[in-house]
Amino acid sequence: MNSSGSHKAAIMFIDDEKQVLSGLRRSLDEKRGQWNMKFVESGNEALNLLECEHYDIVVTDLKMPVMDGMKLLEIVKEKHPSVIRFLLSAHVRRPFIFDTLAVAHHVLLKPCRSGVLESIISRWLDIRNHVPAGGRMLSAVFGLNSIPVMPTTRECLMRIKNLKTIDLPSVADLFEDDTAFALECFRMAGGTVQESGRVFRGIDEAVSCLGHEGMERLVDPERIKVMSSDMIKILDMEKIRERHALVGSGIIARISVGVDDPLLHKEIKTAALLYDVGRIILFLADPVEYERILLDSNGGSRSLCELEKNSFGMTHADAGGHILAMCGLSSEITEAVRLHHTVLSAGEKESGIRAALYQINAEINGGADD
Amino acid sequence: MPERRNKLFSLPRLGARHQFFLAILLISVMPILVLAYVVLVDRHFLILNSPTIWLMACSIGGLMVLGYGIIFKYPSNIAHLHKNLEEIVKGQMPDSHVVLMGIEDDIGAIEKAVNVIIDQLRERIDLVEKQKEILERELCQANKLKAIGAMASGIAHEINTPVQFVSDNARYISRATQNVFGFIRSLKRTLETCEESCRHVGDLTANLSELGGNEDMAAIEKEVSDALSESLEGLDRIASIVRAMRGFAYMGKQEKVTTDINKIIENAVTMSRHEWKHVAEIEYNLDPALPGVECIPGDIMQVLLNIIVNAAHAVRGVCEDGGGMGRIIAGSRTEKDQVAVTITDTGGGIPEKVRDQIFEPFFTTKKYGDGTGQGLVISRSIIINKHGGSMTFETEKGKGTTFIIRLPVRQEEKSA
Repeated sequence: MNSSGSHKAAIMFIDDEKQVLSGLRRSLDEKRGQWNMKFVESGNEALNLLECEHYDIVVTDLKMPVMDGMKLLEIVKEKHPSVIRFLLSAHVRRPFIFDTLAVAHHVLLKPCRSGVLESIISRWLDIRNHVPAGGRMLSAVFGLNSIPVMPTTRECLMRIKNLKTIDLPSVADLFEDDTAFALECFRMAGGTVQESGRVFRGIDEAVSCLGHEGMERLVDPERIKVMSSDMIKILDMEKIRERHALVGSGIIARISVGVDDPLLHKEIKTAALLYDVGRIILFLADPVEYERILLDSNGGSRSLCELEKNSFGMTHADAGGHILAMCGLSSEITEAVRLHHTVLSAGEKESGIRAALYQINAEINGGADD
Repeated sequence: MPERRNKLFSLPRLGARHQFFLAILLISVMPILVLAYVVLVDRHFLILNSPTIWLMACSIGGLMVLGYGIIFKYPSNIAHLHKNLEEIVKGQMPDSHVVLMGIEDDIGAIEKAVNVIIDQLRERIDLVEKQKEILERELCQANKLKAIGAMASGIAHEINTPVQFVSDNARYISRATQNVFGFIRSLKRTLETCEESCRHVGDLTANLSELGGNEDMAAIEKEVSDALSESLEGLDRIASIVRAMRGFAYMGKQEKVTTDINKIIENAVTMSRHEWKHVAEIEYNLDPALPGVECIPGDIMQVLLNIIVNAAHAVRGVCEDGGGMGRIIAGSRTEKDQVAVTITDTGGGIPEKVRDQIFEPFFTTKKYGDGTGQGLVISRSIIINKHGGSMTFETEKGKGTTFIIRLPVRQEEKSA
């Protein structure tokens, strides 16, 4: 593990065609100062290297002899869950692209536009640098390749499956109802974005990015994972759901009385929908520990954030912010989620989305921090 | 013909029931009349006068009418109906309507009903035939579209990779040349200042290394020249694919033109590169003196693509089982007034029990979704029905398969 403060990011590229590798090496030449780049020609070689050296990101081709990219990423995910996994391929057909997200964090199609690979790698490295090193959280955040949803969501999806076409209004209801499912939608859309700088401000943008085929995969109940009953109980998902109902009904409307900008309005709504996803991430990182923390914070004198910080090195707000950044949400939303427990400074009072989210959180929790 | 014969036999145009009553009447009444006449008038049977003969004749006539019905007409009608119905059941439509004897009565109704059935069946058969024709055409078209779709995606794959590294290289070269020109500019400036101030070569080189150029320049020189040569290779790859793509221009045409079969073989191999490149090496064994063959080039291309893709799948099976890279050998040769194209693979061969089935529609060994089982059927129909050629295969388990297509060099007039 590279724990020193100013370390160079280590990135490995895997492609069976030498020319592709040297092309990548040359086009990323300028990044040599910041990135340590390794170029290898087969999956086995890559796995051997991963055993003895640390890498932050692997970028692999899909179609390769002996071991293809999917297989390689599957093994990397299992053995080195904290490594970020990219697929860069000329061979991905449209519906299949969504299946690759089971093992890849991001899929890029060859030929990708100038600078896209660089900017997406940089974005992911940036997220990675914010996650405290030392194993648990890195693996929890980057080992995640699908978000478990509420059992009721899955039941609804089973019903939708029998319909000939996807019933968009009822899927939209599910997003409102289940924060995990909304996050899953952003994750799938974010992982297949092909342009640099494309971010989502609302779930409608993610849906249109997924397109019909992507939506079909998203609502496929066979693919989806379900939260355990323990998880629902401990995280009090039902309460989160009730809050969402609250958010939907009154608070947003009240808060956004002064908001004229429809885009800002949309961002506030998205942030309000997703701001608690960090709890899910922390829970998945260590269920037992997180349950203990939740109990402590209810009875004890220390706040939840403090306990989380002590034990996980980050609060659920941080974790939520990172996971939303991974899923391609706009930096305004991710920042607002990351800071939704931080008291606004004097100058920040009217700075849109962050102020709104803080207010929403405060109102829902009755002023007191949970 | 049968119509006419049956008409001849249906002598009295009376209904069966009328005939029957007439016969009963004649048979039962006439002997009584004869008896009464004999008893009352001609007691001695001596006078065989004309009324006696007339009455006798009448009763014989009655018997004959009845006999005709029972012995000849009904059995023959039933046999006729039976034969016709049996044919219909077997699926052979009679050439014409059924015509029975003495049709004015019940049997006539049966005749009419049977003929209505025949008419309706014939209509439906025509409809089914027409639909079958349309379906076959659509299937053929769908298969062609599928072949084009597969090729298009293959081409996209094949072009995307070189485009990726060619544009990466171009980006690098553009940046590198900027650096180089920057270096040249500063070099020029240094030289100018040196001319004025320093007279020693040592100063000049010191100034140069101060610019940090020397090492960079050597590295840039190597990288730029590599990038350029690799890019040119990549462009060559793209160009060869695009050249082969011209083959698409004739995919849709249905005219027979004199065609260089070797070129079609090469194009089909290039187009299917993504199917075989990881599993097999291609060898050519082409006859350079092959005569031009009159054929529909797009169709032949489709057939060859189909066979090459099958060959690649066969070789892949062996390759995945750890058998290493296989080979696909594309050959052509002249045989009298025919041209033979052979595609040989080193795959696992066609299992004995399915050898008879491979040309059957919907037969496939591929998993659901990978093959429709139509490729070889349509290929064979293209070769045999459209071109009057032949398509056969030789296969040996564990060694591989060779498909042989023979095409006549000149098409005969009749096979349009």
